Amino acid sequence: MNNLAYIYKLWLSIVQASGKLTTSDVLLAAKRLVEGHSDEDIAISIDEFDKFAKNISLDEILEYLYAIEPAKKYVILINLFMVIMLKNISNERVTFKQIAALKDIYKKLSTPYLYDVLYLLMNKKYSKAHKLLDEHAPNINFICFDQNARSEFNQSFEEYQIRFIIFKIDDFFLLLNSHSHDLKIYTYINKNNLTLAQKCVEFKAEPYEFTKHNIRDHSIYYIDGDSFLRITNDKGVIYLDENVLIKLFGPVNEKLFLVSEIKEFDKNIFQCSIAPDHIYNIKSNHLFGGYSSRNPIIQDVNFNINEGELVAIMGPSGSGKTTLLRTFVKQAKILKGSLLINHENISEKYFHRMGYVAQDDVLIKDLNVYDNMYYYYRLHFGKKKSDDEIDKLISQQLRSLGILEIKYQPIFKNGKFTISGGQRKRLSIALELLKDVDLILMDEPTSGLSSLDSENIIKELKKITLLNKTVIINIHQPSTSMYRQFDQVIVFNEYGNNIYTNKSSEVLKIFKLVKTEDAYLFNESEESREDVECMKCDKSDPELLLEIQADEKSNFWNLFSYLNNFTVKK
Amino acid sequence: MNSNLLKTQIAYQIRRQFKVKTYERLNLIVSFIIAPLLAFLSAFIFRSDIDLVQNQAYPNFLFFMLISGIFFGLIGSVFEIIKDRSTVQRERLGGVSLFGYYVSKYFVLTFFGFIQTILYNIIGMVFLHIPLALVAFNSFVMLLTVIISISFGLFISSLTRSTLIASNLIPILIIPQILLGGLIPYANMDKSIYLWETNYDTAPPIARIIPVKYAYEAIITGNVAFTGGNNEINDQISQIVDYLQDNQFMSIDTQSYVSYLKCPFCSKTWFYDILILIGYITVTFILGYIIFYRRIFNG
Repeated sequence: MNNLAYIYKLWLSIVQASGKLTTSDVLLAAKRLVEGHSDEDIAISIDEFDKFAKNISLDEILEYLYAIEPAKKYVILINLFMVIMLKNISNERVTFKQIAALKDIYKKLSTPYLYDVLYLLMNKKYSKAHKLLDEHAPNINFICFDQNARSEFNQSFEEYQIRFIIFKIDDFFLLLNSHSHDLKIYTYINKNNLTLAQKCVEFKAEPYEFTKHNIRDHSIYYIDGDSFLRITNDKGVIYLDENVLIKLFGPVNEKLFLVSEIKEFDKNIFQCSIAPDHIYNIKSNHLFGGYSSRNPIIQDVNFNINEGELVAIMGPSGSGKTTLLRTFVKQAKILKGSLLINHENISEKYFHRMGYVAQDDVLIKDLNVYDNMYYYYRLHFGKKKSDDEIDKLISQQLRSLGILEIKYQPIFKNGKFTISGGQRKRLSIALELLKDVDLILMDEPTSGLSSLDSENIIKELKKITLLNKTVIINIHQPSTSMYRQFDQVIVFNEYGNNIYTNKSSEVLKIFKLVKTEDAYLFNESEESREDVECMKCDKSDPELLLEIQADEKSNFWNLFSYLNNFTVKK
Repeated sequence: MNSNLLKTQIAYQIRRQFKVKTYERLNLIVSFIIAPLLAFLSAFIFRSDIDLVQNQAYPNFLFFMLISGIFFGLIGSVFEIIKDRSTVQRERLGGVSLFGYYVSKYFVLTFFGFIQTILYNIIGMVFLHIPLALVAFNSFVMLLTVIISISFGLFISSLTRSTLIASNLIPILIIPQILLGGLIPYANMDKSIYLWETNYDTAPPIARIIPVKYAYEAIITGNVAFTGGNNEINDQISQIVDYLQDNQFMSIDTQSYVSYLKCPFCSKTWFYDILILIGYITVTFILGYIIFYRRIFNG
């Protein structure tokens, strides 16, 4: 079977699930869409197509998609896009007029527009890609793919930073799932609201009490077993979580379901709960902290962190980054000011909703990965789940962090670690996820790791925040790509003074406002001057910021301090 | 904390500790080989006669058995909390009981100490022809010293974060047990160790805080008591008492020995000593747990 045949099959599966198009419609559209390709490619009759459509599972198609060379993958992406667009414009049977319109779209796709988008995505120029998409395809609300497996396919998509595809079309929710490939594509099609939250309250009379997290345009959302989708449309409120959806897929192979087909399901299966002490806000007011009242290590710290944020604490060595984290878990004292969780003073009642990962390894070296996780779960939750369920849960968490292959590996053997530093950090994160905490505090999660591992860890942490979990980390010298992932930065100078707290993106804006002359006052080295020259050019490249920071000799921290004053004055 | 949850946690902590302890098979095998090896060495050295009755070095064997017990307990426990510290601190946040951890650690270490104790005593039984009743009693007293030293070990392990410091503290705990445990006559020591005490016929005050002193006293007097009906052993006991008197073993009053010979079960010195040892275990367990709790809680 050639490539296009597989693609047709994929289209067919998707579109058939919508219940609005016939096979012949799709094939006709498909044939038209691929005009310009060789006849051989499209020489599959409707009968033949139907025949193999019955015999070949979607799984096999996905297998094929994984296997094909990466260069062609974006073509498939485009074609998938096309199918969705097809649905977008067709509320009923596809007419030739519509197919002609599709052809036009395809022509557009053949022009640099979508290729440009893909190119930009591949090169991580997201804002430009989004802008282009907005310009050419305003109907597209979300683009992301979910994949966690470490196949070539997934790694390839990892490069694109794409996790789900959710196209706003009309009035149905579509989900394509492959257990075998760990691929999930959710397509939500509705003019009304779509709400994503990590947990919901028990679904009884009033299901709206949970913290809502409205999906924003061009945002990436990760949906896993702890997440659910709440879809409101004129037909009522539908709650879905991934487990339910997967259950609906049945035990074998993959199928596609329409929400309209499942909405009458017993509502009990959609029930989920939110912890009563779920942490949704963390705030500090003029916080002084340390180990003795005479010697505060951190001084006048102010921040306001909402759930789902990735916050970086930055500053030179010895500036109190770790002390700040330790005040959360009472390993350092609050000497003055306040540290509030959900607007009340921090107390032990929130401890079980927090996970603190110290800089040194917190794994039990004399156990393998599985046993570390198994006993961690058992100690926290007792006999809540059977061994089989825990096994599945462990696999799920390890897979989501891309370390499933080390599940039964020892951590330490014959005097040396048998898993890498990056894997150990991931495992530490997996332990916290197993515990289902709301706030993860990580001390130097990237220390001792390669730049690639460090970036991957930060990506994983960012992914965790998409589950409405808050992550606060200490970090010394983040790379630009890491810096971009932070929602907020809290910066200390060498004396433990909190000199800057704001959204990470705000820093760049402020940088643009700094007058060159003023900036010169703080930059003495030749290299720094060059950086200032760049600022003068009004470039807001975050590389600039990070380069300055990476240079230990530069007075990056002073500059931050200056910037802080600057904004105050302003 | 809910008692059922605590029980469940203790059960899983114990299972985990067992897994950890048995993870490094080589280390496990070595620790189990060391006990019989030391027993063999000790029995070989302290076998002045193949007949136990004639073996005047038997008390020495018993003494070094107790010292070995102290050694096993300390070595097994002194690094345990240092090693687990970060894990325990992390798990505490999630509501995992510190008490559950401590108890399970104690339990598992005691279990391994018990195995070593049995292995040690079996070798002693074979080489020194010790009667089974005495082996059981000796094992019991040795196990008590093992448990006490586990307390000491966990105490040190809670106090310091450094394995180096912990290693250096091991001799500080073992050497005084050897010096003041009762084998070396107190009479030969500097009188200043008696501090305020003027009666030099008893153990000096400083020796009264040494657990091995009580254990040795218990094991010697117990050996007397439990073999009271055995003439051969009584003969040997006479020799032991002679030996003790000759060596000015002052922690046991000579008069009480004489009364032992007359009526071994009339005097309960061994029983009281065992009670003291159990008290010792209780106190060190509580103190050790308090230190452990404070150190973990305060980071």
